[in-house]
Amino acid sequence: MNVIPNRAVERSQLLKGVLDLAVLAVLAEQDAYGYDVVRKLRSHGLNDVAEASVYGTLRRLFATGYLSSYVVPSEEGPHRKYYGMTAVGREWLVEQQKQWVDFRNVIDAIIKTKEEGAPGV
Amino acid sequence: MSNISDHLKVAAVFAESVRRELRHLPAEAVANLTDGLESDIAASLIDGVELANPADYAADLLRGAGLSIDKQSTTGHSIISEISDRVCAVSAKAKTFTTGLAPAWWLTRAWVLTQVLGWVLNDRDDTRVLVGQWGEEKIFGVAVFIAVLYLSVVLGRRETKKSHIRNVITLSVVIAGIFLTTGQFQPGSNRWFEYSASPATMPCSLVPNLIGLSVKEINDLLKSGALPYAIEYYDKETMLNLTETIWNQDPIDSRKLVVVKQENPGQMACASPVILYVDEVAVATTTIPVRTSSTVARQLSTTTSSVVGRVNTTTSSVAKQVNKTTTSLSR
Repeated sequence: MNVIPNRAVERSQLLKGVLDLAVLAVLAEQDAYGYDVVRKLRSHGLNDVAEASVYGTLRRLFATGYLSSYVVPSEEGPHRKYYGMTAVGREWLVEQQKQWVDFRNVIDAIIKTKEEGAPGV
Repeated sequence: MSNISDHLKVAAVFAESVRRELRHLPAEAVANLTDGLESDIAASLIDGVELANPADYAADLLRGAGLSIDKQSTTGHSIISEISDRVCAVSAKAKTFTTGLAPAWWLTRAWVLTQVLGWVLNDRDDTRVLVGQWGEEKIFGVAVFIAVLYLSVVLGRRETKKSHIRNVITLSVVIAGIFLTTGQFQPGSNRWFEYSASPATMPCSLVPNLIGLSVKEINDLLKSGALPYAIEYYDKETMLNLTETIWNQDPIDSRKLVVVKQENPGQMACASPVILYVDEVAVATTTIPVRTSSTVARQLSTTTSSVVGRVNTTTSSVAKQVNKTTTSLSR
């Protein structure tokens, strides 16, 4: 029996490895609250990112020390919890960016080789 | 549903549902995970995003936070697992509580052990407190307590691996503590290292006839150890127990009281006291108030010499033991 992977699941698996990097990259530009981060990720094309996954990631990165957090009262309703980068977080982001570029280059090279060698491509 | 307040209400209800899905976690963890969740959910509702199932949402939240979702179930908790969770939570709290009490326990058992040591080694009639237990050597007592406390702490840090040893220690300390608090370890009650005139620890012997002796003479013999018995005085007429009264009486008055009846002369006496009935007589002189009969005098003389001999032997051996013990403790 052939099991055909769901595309959404495939993307979810791919995203899992780089969500930390993506969230940190968004916050490196500007402090933001949870849904704001989700919105920015979606605006970059990550439409199927799960909100709760992002919120959980934010809490974990905060617990790790890569993010700081502060609460901003809202006139319209409950307070908003904003996240910002810490110095440690910025260092880690730079390191992760380098790793990602190296990794992407390796994968690109592999894919390109396959495409060139593939008949009819 | 278009206005903000409606979105906020929905967001609050949804956030609460998510929190319920996370109830297997400690309250602090749930608070950290869901703090500010209402505003995020409300913002997404304003953007027209449809909310997922709270259980799936909670699972995503846990996954994102890198926490285990083993206890998370889309169908909710069974009653058994909920009870199990609650028992585990109570157990964890109890463990945290008892762990916090460990230093107090180490201190308590050190104090109890010091008291027991003091009781064993103390032959003074002193108050039953830490320093008093060790008599005049107060600094020595405190030094022993500090040493015992150090050992208690060292042992306390190691004993978690050896639960059977811990159980034995705990049981011993609890029993000793019960004895201490119920006054069983009275200062000076330790007779392991000293001669005791207590009838319970003396060999059985014949009780001499004490009729005709004054209370003062008998008391003098008791104090010297020549009469190794517990004595109880009763008024011949009223049968009232005068023992305590007589001991607190002026010695001059005790000359006026003479033994006129005795319950067990010539019998073997072990633990039971010698019962003497006394009566007041006129004192003719101030020197020898009552003349001892020749029979009694002979009996007393025999008893006194034999008892004094035993006392001397016992005292010297006890003194050696005490000296040895004190020397070793001083080291």
